[in-house]
Amino acid sequence: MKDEQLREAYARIVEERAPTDRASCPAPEALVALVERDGPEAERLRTLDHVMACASCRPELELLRTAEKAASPTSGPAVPRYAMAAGIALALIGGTLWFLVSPGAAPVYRDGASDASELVEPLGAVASPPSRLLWRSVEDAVRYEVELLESDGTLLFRSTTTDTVLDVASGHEWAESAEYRWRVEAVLLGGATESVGVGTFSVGEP
Amino acid sequence: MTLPQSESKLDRVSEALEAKLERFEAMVAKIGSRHGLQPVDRDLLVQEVRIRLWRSLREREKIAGVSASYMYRTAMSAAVDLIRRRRAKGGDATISVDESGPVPAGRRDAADEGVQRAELERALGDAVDELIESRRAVVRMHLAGYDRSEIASLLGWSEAKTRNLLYRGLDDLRAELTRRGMGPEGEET
Repeated sequence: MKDEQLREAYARIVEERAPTDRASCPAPEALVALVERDGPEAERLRTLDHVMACASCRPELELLRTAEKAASPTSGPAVPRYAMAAGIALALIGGTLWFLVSPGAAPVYRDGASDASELVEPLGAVASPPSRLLWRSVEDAVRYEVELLESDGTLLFRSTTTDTVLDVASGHEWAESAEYRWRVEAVLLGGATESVGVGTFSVGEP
Repeated sequence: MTLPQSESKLDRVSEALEAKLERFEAMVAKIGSRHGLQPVDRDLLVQEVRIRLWRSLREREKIAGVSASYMYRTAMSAAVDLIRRRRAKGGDATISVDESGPVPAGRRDAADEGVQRAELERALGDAVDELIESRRAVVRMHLAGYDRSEIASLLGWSEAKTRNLLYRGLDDLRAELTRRGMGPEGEET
């Protein structure tokens, strides 16, 4: 059974099962909790299960997702200038130092340069383990490819997201004072890639 | 004359408001389009935020100084109110998304294809309903056309966890479909 067949059939099912009234639909607050990843996961999964089977709820979820992303300070140039400047400075310093002392080869980007202009956090020495990686959006990016590496170049994880934030697994054990390197690459409309930046950080006192 | 002065003040407030909304409006257009939101609904959202900012602030300095978190709360509450209004009206289709499917049953289709289609839909609907809860929502998202990164992002999961639950769910789904006589054919998911 091809994926496309299943998706077409599923779309028809959802359309045919459209509710005549909304009594069984989750409250708007539950949709907000889903979008904001707030509350118990089991509840959010139940909400999502309903939404993905409900022709009335799904557009509402998309409205909220749009509002959330459009108003998010990480989705565009509304990041405060001082924060952006600090991020750029830290990322540049950290990135430059890293590549000066790194025994491995520097990554090669489309333009042959390693720039760290759009990373926001974590950068430099951070007091507590980071819960997320955050960067600024790139015009026409359709997704971002993110890598987190240890100082010796060991890949900890690689992930793809359409967002400009990536949650880091809470169970990850960070080595104290060890330096970590992360990099983000934007995949643009049409498939071209663009480096978003390379940054380094360490957890705890350097 | 006071009228030109108040008009001038009004212009400045409007300018500040539009400046504040410029980025938001552009982002709504870009992201909303990606999410399949209709232009009319994107416009409604922006207009609702515009009205809220205007009513709450009414001064150029206040509007210009709106923080990102205030903007975020305003946008989310505006979206929630739009949803509430829509529901109160009895669910008229003021919010809708562009769907890649469903593909309408073509008039050229033979009658037996229509029957097969109906059987597949029935089997698929039942098979999805029987998946365990933690995998069901993920499989539904996949079937609704979301990619893995979107699923991971919405649920706050790692890529590995998402991939694991999705593939297990799809395996379960295919096994259940096979059991119901909708055997595997063609390419794998």
